[in-house]
Amino acid sequence: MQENVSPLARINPAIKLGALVYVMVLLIAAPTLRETIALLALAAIGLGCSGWSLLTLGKRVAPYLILFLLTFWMMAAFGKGSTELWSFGWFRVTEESISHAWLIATRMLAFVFLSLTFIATTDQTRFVMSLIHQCRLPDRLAYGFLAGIRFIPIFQQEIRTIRQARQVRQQQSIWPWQTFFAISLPLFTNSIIRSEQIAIAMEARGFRAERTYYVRPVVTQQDRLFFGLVCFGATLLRIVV
Amino acid sequence: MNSWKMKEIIVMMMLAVACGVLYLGWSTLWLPISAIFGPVGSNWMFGIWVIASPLVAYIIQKPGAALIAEVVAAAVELFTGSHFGLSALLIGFAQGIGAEIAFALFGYRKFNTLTLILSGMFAAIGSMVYSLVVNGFAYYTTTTLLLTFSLQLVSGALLGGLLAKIIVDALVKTGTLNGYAIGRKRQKRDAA
Amino acid sequence: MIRCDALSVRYPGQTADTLTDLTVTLHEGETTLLVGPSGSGKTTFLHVLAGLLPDAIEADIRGRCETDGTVGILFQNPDDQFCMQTVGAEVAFSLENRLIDRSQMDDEIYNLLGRVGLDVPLTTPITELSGGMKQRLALACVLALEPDILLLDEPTAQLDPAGQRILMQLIEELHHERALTLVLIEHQLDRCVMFSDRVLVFDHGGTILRDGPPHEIFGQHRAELERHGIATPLLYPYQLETLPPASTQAARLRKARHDRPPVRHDTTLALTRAALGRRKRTIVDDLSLTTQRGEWIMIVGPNGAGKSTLLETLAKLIPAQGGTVRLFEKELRKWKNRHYYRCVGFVFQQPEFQFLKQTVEDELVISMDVPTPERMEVALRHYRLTHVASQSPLSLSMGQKRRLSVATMLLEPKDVLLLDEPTFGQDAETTAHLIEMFEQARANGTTLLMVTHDMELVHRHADRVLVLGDGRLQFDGTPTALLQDETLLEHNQLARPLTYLYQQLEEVKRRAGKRLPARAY
Repeated sequence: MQENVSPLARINPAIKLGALVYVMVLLIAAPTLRETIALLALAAIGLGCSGWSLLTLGKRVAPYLILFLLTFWMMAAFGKGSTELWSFGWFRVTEESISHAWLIATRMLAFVFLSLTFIATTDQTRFVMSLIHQCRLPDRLAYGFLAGIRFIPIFQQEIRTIRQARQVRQQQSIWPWQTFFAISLPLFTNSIIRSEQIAIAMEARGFRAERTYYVRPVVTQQDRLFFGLVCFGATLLRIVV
Repeated sequence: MNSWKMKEIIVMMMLAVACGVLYLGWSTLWLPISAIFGPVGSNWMFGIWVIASPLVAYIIQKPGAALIAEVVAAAVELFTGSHFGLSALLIGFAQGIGAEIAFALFGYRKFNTLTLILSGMFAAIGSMVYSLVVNGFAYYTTTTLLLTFSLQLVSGALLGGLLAKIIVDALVKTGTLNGYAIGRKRQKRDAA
Repeated sequence: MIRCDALSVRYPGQTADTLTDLTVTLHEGETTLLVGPSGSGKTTFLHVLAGLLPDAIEADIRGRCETDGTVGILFQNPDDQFCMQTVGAEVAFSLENRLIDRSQMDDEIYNLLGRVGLDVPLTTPITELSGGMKQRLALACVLALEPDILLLDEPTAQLDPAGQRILMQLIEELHHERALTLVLIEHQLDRCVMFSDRVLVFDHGGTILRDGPPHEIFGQHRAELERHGIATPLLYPYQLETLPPASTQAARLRKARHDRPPVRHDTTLALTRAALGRRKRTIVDDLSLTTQRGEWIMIVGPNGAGKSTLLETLAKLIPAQGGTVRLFEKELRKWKNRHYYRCVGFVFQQPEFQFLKQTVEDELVISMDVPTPERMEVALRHYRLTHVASQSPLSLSMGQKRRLSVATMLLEPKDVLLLDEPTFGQDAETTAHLIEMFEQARANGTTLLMVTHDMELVHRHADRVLVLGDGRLQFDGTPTALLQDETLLEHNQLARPLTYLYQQLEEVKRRAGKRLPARAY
């Protein structure tokens, strides 16, 4: 999520989320590949309007093509069907499974495009603030959530340090969940201690429900237009195609 | 929400975010395994992705904790731009609801091994419902589907519920949880 | 004004009071310095004044404590006081709580950031700030509350020297605001006593041992304070130039350093034209150096100069990007991890991340090749951990955690020990104990490479010092040679330590053949 000047970035985040989720629901309800591809095209248009350059878009989308293939492969090799085309070991590819695989993998890709559209054009703080003002999310939860996500990079760094320390002390686990336990324990302990300090600091600064807002997203005519257009367009695609 | 202390809210958010960051690492481990072994061979790993609910609910012991924790952990994937994004948020919601039901069934009075394991399993059910509807799991062969589902149930119970219990019990020993429901109960029991 | 009457505080699960029957009045505009041994309830006292007990912090509170006006409090850890993503939004959080109208916020925010000298765009992510900048931002957020009473809980304890200097300057300026009542806990006593009006001395059990103006407390009662294990200012009431040579302070400062040769001229690590960095970014280039057995090398330099990167490279955690790095003439990448980490130890900056077991005892067991009950007992005693042997390492105090993390690395002798700011944020007693451990390791032939910001340590204990800055090794030599090089010190924001300055001064006096008259002021 980053600073972005595209028209989509100006849309109210909660409204934008609502519109995108509506498209997702339509995707889930689309039973054939044709409709799914039509909605995928819509999502691609959204991604095109996200304000990212083609190069950035290419870099961001490339890994998902691998995921696309993986999803396709999973469904193709493990899906049900009677007309067997190819089999090897526990893999069994059939005509039906291939067609289902196309559907599910395309749907997955459309989801990814919608997610990326949202991520590319939405500022974290503005998103959470719009959840307060447009979705009545309680202040304390919203500000608590913001306090938490600030720690994403810090936690990533801490996990890296814990792994390094395990290497230096030559500690290896046999099972992955043992590693999970070993990493999570110091990580959680530290975050509990920090939580307590953050909560105290927030209360010491007079945090309360009665307040003004530095960031206060409102719903404009433009937002309503956007919501209407996306919902109408998507529904139309679904019916016509 | 008014019965929540500020520090309970923050600790829930921080632990859920920490879980979300751990999920990311677990996802990179999962991708290659699932390509080779398919839904059956990779779903023993499922339970970790629902650990936030039992973990946080066991510490805070209040209605809503399980649901919020899982949704927040899923939101981390959205906010870091992970490959699951918005769908992660939806699946997190489905899992969170499942996990929450387990505690609600007992009127939020019982937070023990049984309810924690149940919450891991219910989260698996929530996830399965989502996968059937959205990810086309219904198209899998019946054997694959049943095997996947039972594996997720077992994994949710063990890697979700039971591991959460083990981790929190170890956390209690460090004394950092003394100010929360789990720590207070433990102290009371020790005093008695 | 602050008035406490028979104030007692007890935390849940504790058997003794943290504050006991405290009666004290602090006046408007007064600056009060709190001193006392650790665990004497100073921080609890500030928390009570900030109105955090018993709601935000659970505790049983008896007696009365009244404060007139708004209270603001600045905490120690620069990272744990924020809840927003960007600088502007963070300051605004305080203003929002005060119900300031949105239209006035931007001006107010710029004004506050100006007051703390933080000249960054409002959209700067907080994660991109240095520790010192974060703490100044935290101060701006507290000032945004327009406090009548400002409480400061060791605000510089977790900053590097450059950050400390700037923050202390700001605090001193605040003291000049007539209406502002300041109460502070701070270990930089020499700086604080200069502008404090009053000193409250806390004793074990949360009682007040002494209460009076600084010259009285640190003049007449200095010996008593030292008996109670309370830190006192190094120079006060004198200055460096006026310190009487017969005083205990002068004796402390006179402890001379001796340049020592390495224990054995036997090369351990050798870097040849090495380029160090993470991912694609090169942080230090063209680095060549060799280390000897039993040599204590300290690494200094500004933040981001690559000190930690150097340690991580030597610990075989990240590969060198160019050149060669060898241990015992064998390239690092050719070493098997299993063998390498028997020779090389690494004490991380945050000890809690390097523990692997559920109890202190188990932690020590896996650090020994052949654990026996006798060895265990000796180790526990040596590192002063006997009474916490069965506790979780994560439940220990900061000093205990640090000692345990050093123990896990030193129970089996190492050829090289890498230390990332091991004394950072530690009290004087733990620091002294750690130094003792490291000196022993040195005597046994271990090469110690230690990153630090503490120039006092460099002057007193380093055999050799490396200055990293501007992407290269700027200096490699004895501390004495470094401390003589004015331009190099200034360029890398390094300050000369007090002991060095004093010894220089004595040298000048001796050469001049006369003694300057000592005067107190």
